[in-house]
Amino acid sequence: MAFEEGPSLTIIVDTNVIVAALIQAGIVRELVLDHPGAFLTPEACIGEVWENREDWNRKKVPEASVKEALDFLTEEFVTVVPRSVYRGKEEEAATLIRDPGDVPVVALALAVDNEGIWTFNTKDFSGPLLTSRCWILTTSGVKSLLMDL
Amino acid sequence: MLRVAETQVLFRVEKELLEALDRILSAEGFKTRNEWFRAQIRKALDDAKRKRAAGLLKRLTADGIEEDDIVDMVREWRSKKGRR
Repeated sequence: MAFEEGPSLTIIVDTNVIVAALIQAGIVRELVLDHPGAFLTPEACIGEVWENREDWNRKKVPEASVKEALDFLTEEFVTVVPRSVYRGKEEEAATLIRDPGDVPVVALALAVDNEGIWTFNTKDFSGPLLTSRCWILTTSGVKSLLMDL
Repeated sequence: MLRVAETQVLFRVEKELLEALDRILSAEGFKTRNEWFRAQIRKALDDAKRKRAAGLLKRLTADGIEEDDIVDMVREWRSKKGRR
């Protein structure tokens, strides 16, 4: 293995992947922490995660610690993409996916070069119109992609 | 491609250690000592970041949550938001 200048893959991550990285020990967190910079998420997903922190913060960790963890995750491991980058694709994305909450992720996938959208909710991301435009990745699919690097 | 500013670093190392390094360089995929040294710095920094993140996230870790539970949780947030 020769040295690498940086990650050569770009994977778009859904809200549920961010939540898993935050609260679930295991493969999702390992993949994110082992591949800093390989993942992008729309700012809408991070906003959604922060808004609902009282729900996913099962351990009732103080808010300052929650903020510190989320900030560190997004500063060092997952790049948060501002809406200005994907706003122009939102209308098209809305025709490809039913849940309006998923529109930012799909719009981002349409706006930038990427290897696919990583989500646990493959059922909602299974429409033929969407899958003809974007690759949808499960956790095992992401693991395979990253292992091949 | 942007070229970042570089600083030259001079350090001392035992002769035997340097010879041992030279023997493994190409096998490890590095053309020069400089390439190897840069890679080790990056690795050390990445390891430190990963260690800090693991510590911060450990505090938040909840037991017994599966991927499907998280999908349901997010669906519930959106459903509540839609009702507001």
